[in-house]
Formats: sequence, structure tokens, C-alpha cells
Amino acid sequence: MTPWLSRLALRFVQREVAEFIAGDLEEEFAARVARDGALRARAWHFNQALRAMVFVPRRIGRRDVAPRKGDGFVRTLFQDLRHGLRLLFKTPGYTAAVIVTLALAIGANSVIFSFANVLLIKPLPIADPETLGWIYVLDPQRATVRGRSSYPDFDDLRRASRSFATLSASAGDNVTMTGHGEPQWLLAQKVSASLFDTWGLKAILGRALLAAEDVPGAPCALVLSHKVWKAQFQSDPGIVEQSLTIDGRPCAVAGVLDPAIEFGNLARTDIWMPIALDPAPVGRDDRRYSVVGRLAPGVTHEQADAELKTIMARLSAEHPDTNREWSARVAPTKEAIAGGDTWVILALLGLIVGFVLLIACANLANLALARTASRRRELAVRAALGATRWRVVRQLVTESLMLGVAGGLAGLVVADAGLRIMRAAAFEPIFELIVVDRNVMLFGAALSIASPILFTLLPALYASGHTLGETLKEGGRGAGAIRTRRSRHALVVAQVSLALTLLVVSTLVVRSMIAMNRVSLGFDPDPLLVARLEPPKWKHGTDDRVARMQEELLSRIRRVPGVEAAAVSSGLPVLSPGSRTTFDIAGRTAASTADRPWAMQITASDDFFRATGIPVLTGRAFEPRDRLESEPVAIVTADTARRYWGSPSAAIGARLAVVAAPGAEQVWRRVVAVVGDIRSEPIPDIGSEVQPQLYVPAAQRPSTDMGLIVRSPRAADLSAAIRAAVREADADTPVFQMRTMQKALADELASSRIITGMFVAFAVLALVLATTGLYAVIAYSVGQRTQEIAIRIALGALPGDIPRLVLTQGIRLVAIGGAIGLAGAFVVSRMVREIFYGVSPSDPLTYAGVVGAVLVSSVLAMWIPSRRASRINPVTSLRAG
Amino acid sequence: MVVGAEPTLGEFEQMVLLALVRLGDRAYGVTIREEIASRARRDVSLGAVYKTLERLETKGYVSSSVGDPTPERGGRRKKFFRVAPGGARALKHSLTALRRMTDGLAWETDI
Repeated sequence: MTPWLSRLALRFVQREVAEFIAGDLEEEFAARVARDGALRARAWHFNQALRAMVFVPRRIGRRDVAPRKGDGFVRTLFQDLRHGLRLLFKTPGYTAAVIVTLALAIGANSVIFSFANVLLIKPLPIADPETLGWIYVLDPQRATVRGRSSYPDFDDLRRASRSFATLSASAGDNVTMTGHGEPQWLLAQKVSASLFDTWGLKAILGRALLAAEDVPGAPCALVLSHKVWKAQFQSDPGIVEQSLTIDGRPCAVAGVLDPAIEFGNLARTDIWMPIALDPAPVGRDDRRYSVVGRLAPGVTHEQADAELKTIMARLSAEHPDTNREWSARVAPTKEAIAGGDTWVILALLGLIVGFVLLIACANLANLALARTASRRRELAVRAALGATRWRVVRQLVTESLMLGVAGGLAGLVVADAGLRIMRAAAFEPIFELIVVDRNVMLFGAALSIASPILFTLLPALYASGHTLGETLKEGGRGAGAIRTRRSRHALVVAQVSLALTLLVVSTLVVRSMIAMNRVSLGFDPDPLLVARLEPPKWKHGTDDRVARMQEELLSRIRRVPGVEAAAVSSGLPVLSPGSRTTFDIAGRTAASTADRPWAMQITASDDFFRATGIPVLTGRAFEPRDRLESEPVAIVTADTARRYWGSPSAAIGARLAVVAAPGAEQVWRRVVAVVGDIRSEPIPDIGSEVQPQLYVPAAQRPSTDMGLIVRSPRAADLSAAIRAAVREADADTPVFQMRTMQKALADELASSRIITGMFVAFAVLALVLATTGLYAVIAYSVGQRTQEIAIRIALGALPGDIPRLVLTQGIRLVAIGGAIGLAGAFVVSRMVREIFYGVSPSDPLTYAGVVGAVLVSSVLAMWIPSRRASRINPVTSLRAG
Repeated sequence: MVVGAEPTLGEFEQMVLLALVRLGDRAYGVTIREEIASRARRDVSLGAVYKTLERLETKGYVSSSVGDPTPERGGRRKKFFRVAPGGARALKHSLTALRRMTDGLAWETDI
């Protein structure tokens, strides 16, 4: 069997001998397979076939194929290709420089395109995303733009709305699966049964959830995600109709969902269950449901938005306790899959890689100009022998196209490698989707064809534009040379300005990132080990049982050698900041819901502050005496105290009560301490680096959603011992996401580090490319001016004069480019100011630093050629001329 | 004798012709390549061999004949080559010129 690649190559071998060559190869191939193995034999075969193709090529357009009308396009194309290939191999330095430059620029562009590809171009795994409306509930302060809804509000919206054909709700919830090996903690998505229809999701096995299963009292049913079915049940089709134990009760498996939905954050979902399974009657202020709907035919997002606002206004009037001044908005899918900042960053990155490509192409144009200048004699001779201008241009474009294709292929390899590194570093599942696929390849192909054509056509036209007699006479110097020199200088100016612009913008991004990391955490993360625990609700149903379990757990963990302190809390500091709650302060009445004090609420066990290291500023930490039956207490942060009481000392002793669900009793708590502030989120929003926070003793408000914090000088080594301690306390409690606080923060920051890394990489790339461009131009001009410089030296120029001559010329270009670049940087950074943090878009230090860096690298780039110029030996140079 | 009137052969052309002389009626692609590889220690490509043979054939230095298809060649035919009288003459001229140039030289020490 002839390998297919070889067979392809042999098709281009001259027809008269192709049969004999193929036969010879086949004969020897068999012998080589026996001797060297199939792989090496194939490589040999292909190599031989390729060489045969070069040595005895098929005579296209002469004998084999009937002559075409017109100018024999294919024949000349083959001539051009062969001639070009030979030339490119003759100047390997030039060829390599162009291919590497193109590869880096096309690689950078393909990386950014592959992001846009996932976010913008690729179809979502959801049917008709254009007619979906994503409903976000707006709080009275309009503080969050993507708020969730309560179940009763959702129910009212569903009944009242005419704009939507269907409305579905969903909420993530943690459940425990027991009885199938080790207890498993699973992320369940509790959904309206209609969600499957709304999104157009299909089961690949069994069926999706039925409307009849989404009513209270229905027997428990669930749909497995494809990944859980594969990982936990070894893709066993017999799982359908079987019963699993979820949170201690039997649930029948209805089916297995299409893996297409494992997209973005939805990829985390393990199982899908009906919303009706949620036990408690949910209050209107329990806002944890995401709502999405399919617009009714002909209804626009704006109309739906207006209608929902009307309904929410009615609910606000009907339920003033919970809904006063709450509203909602309808967002299209594009906005729902990525936030506003994401689009700005993507656009900015797109702009930056565009700049990188332009800089790279300017280098190519420069190289091509230098090359056509040195080939002017060859081209003139061709013209003299009767080649038309079009023919000469075509030859040059064909050559650059060959370079482009090679550069494009290498660029895709670069992009793939870059994306692999990102996937390895990233924590967010969305990065798994960002790969070099067909779209990215088409994009890379388009770039590798378009950019060389655009940027070598210009020099090609210049080169072919002279009257040939003139060129032959002038010997490479004269009017044509001045013309190309001017365009080379213009290219350098453009490169410097583009590089400066994107260096400034990238530096501002990096400085924002650093500023963000500098926001104080409020504690030292080094000695902390964190994890999440999920004691099964079915086993520890009542509050006192949960409290007892926590005590048991903590006392066991404290006995682990090396543990200094251990605590549990409902959220983990910075990582999961708790739930937003409004509260009343004794002796004050809020004018409206909007004016009610609010804070992020965390329940914490008594060692919490010692374990985390969050300082107690005044008052006392929680103590073992703060029990379920003792006086209810609370602790607030300094920010909360200042915001609502004016000063930390004024808050001590004050009484507050978290607003309870209607019908539930309000618990008044006494503030016993004020503690230090902590960063509100791993990457805080601008203006809310610190948020008001309220701590409540875990013993007085037990929750089965538990974060575990262990303090130890050797936090990283304790995971196994801590797991063992948890298992001893309760074998049915799954432990997950156990990692050091440092690792947890690094995970959360991974995406922004990747983005920052891209800005840095592209900025460095731009600077390097622009510097090389400058170097090439100066070096070339020194080469062109050798005789002039030699005369100057012969006439007595001092040693310093010649470098000064060269540098002055270069510095003028850098100065012009720099001025344009500064203006560009000023405009661009102002356009995207919203993504900067803690740094002004016109930060003088950044601008000065970048200008300095550009100057230093420019001088370095000019240094080598200027040294060479000063060493020119007038005797030899003039004689050679 | 003056040899300048005869067109001289290139080095590779000489090698290919010498291989044909050595191989007699067994000369085709595979054996020619092997002969050059084992004697001159040069791993030449089949394409180069055919290219040269094609050139020699147009000059009338070699003649060729087509054999029968064989199964080990995937049912393809062989092309056998032989040195034509003109080729033999040219080869002799080339080698004579070369030998005369080396006559009297102790090439281990002089070159």
C-alpha cells in the first residue's frame, strides 16, 4: 500500500516516468518496512516521492494538460512557485525572519479570535438564543445588574406575562448522593421542567423531566448530566429507571442529558432535578432563582422588558414588605453569557493583536522593500527581456504568499500552544472550550493570505514602477531608492507609534491588576487551609443536631497535630462572601426597603476570628457561651459600624435584627464586637472593595452549608489528616474543594492572571517587533550609505560624528512615531477606562516609563548599525564602489 | 588526443552511466540507486536518478525498454536502461580525461 501522502505527491510527477518511479518505490518500500519498520519506511517513501516531484515535475500546461485560453495562468503560477521557492531557500535568514514574525502575529490574533469564536460566533448549545430573554431582578438600590428572583415572584411573572411563551426558573443546589460508593457531593440544578423545552435540550438516553414531576408531592425524579453518567456510572445505559439516594431519599433516574449543555458554568452541573422538590415554602425575599424565558413570537426584548417592569411595579405595591421598589430587566443572550467588562477587554485585546499584526506586517513590508531594492537589477533585467509589470508583481506576490502560508501554519501551532498553556493554568471551565477549531483555522488562513498580499504588494508595485533603463544605469541608487526609503521611514514611524500605544494600554492593565491584588485581604492567607463540608440534611435535620455535629467535628480537627485553630462558617472569607441580607436597627425605622441597612451575612463558630486572623477591633469574639438558648449576639465589621452607626464604638451594644421571611419571628441581636474589614471578593468591583459584613454565631443559626477554616503553620500538609478527622466525626459528610487559602485565591484569580499575561505577552511582542523593524531600517540605510560615510571619514569626520549621524536619523523617526503613539495611547486608554482599577488612564508614571522603555530599546536597536558605520574602512569601501 | 570536442559529462552523469555498465541488463531505478549507494556511499533520490537518465536519453547516451508488470511493484512495469554507443563513448572520454589528469600523482599525498 502506498501511503496516501506519497500517492498525492506522485500525482505531480511527470506522467511518463511516474509509473516506474512509483513501482521502484513500492519495491524498495517493502524491503525497508522489513528492515526499518513501517514508520521510517513511510517517511522515506514520502521523502522520495517529494524529491521526485521536484526533480521530474509533471509538465502542466505543456504536454499533459490541454492548453488553456488566456495567459496560461496555471503554468506561470507553477513557474513562479518554483522560482520563488528557490529564492526563499537561497536566503534562509530572510525566510526565517518573515515566517517567525508572521507566526507570532498570526498566533496572537488566532488566540484572541478563538475567544471571540466561543463567545460570539459558535452556536450556543441552546436553541434559538436570539429569542431567549434572560430576566434579572433589580434590587431597590440597583446595585446588582444580574439579580435573581424569588420563587413566588417568578410564579407571578409566569402567570402575568404575555411577552414570554414560557418562563423557567433554575437554582443551583448542593446535594449528597449516598449508597453508590463513597458519599458524593453533587451540584444539582433545580429547574422548572419547561427549561428543557425553553433551551431545546434533549436527553440522549431516557427522557428529560416532565411537567408532572415538577409539582409538589410528585415522586422524586432526576436527569443525570452526561459527565456524571460517564464518570460515576461507567456510561451504563441500564441506569435509566433505577433509583439513587439523593439527600437521603430515593430518586428515579429519568434519563441522561445531551453533553452539549456542558458549556461554561453549566458544565459544573452534575444532576438536574425538578424545582418542586425544594421542601420549604419559599419566601418572596429568598431570591435565588435564575429566570429565563422564550419570547412569544414577534415580541422584542424591549417590549418584554417594559412588560416585566410593569408587573414588578404591581408586585412592589402588593407586597411592600419584600418587594418595594424591586424591579426587573430582560437581557438578550449576548449579554447573559458575558459581562460588559468581558466585551471591553475582548475588544481591547482584539485591538492590541490587530496592532501587533500591523507592526509585524510593517516589518514584512520593510523586509520586502529591502529585498526588492536589492533585486531591482534582476527585476529590471526581467522587464528588459519582456516581462510585463503585472507579471513581475505577480512573481513577488506569489513569493510572499508562500511565506504567508508557512507563517500562518506556524501561527496556528503557536496559537494552539498558547491556548494549551492557558487551559492548564485556568480554573474556569469556559477555557476548556477555547480551542483551535475549524473557525480559528479559517481565520488564520485568511490572515496568512491577506497580510502578505497587502504588505508586499506595495513594495512590489514600487519595484516594478521604474523605467528600467534608469535602474540598470543607476546601479541601485537614485530616485527609486529615495522613494522606497521614504516609505520605509513611514513604516518605522507607524510601528513605533502602534507599539507605544499598546505598551501604554497594557501597562495600565497590568497596573490595575497589581492594584487589585493590593486591596488588603484583611487577614494573612498563608497559614490557612480551607474546605467546604456538606453534612447531609437528612441526617442532621434539626438545628441542635447540626450544632452538635459541628462541635464534634471541630473538637476532632483541633486534636490533629499542627492545628492551631479551626472554625466553621457559612461562607469562606473573600472566597464566598455570604448572603446579602437587610436588617433593622432597634430604635430606627427605615423610610423604605431601599433605605434599609444591608450587609453580607456569615454565620461563624466561636474560633472563627482566631482561625482566620481577622482582628477583633473592639469588644469580644464569639465564645462557647453564645449558644442556641443564650442571648442572641452579632458582630459587625468596621465598615458596617461606620456606615450605620458612625463609629465602631457607637455600634457596640446596639441591637439589630435580620429581616426574616414573612411569618417568621425576628431575632434581635446585640452587637458584641467590631472586627476588621476583609476584601469583598477575590476580584472586587471598583468602589466595593469592602462591603458591610455581619457575623452571627454558628451555634445560634446552624447551617448545613459549612466552610471549614483550619489555621496551621504547615497548612498544606494537613489535608489527609483533616479528611480523616471529618470522616471520624461523620462518615456521610463529603469534604470538597480542600486547598490552602493561597491556592484558593490563585484559582479565583487565574482568569484575570491569564488575561493580564496576554496583555504583557502582546506588549512585549509588539516592542520586540517594532525594535527589530527599526534595527532593520537603520542597518539597511547604513549599508546603502557606506560610500557616503566612507567619504566623510576620508575627509576627516571625527570618531563620534558617524554614530551621531546615524542616531540622529533614527531618533527623528522614533520621536515622530512616539508623539503619534502617545496621542493614540491617550485616546484608547480613555475609551476603555472602565476596566482600569486604581490607576488613571493618563497616569504620568506609566506614560513616562513606556516612553523610556521605547527610547532605550530604540537606541539599542540603532547602536549596532551605528557602531558598524563608524568602523567603515574608507579605503576598501571606496575602492569597492 | 584532444578530448575538448566531446561534450563532457557531469559527475553524477558519470556515476549513473557507470552503474548502467556494471548492472548490464539488470539496470532499473531500484538497482541503479542501490549500486550508487553501495559503491559511492551516496544516498541519492530516485527522482534525481530519473531526471539524469531522462537527460542522458535525450542526448542519446542511454536507451530504455519497458518490462512486464510484477506484483511486488503493485502491478506496475519496470523501465530498464542500457548504455547506448554514444554514451559509452562519452563515458570513455570523460574517464580518460580524468585519468590523464591524475596520472603521475600520488593522490594520497599530492591532493
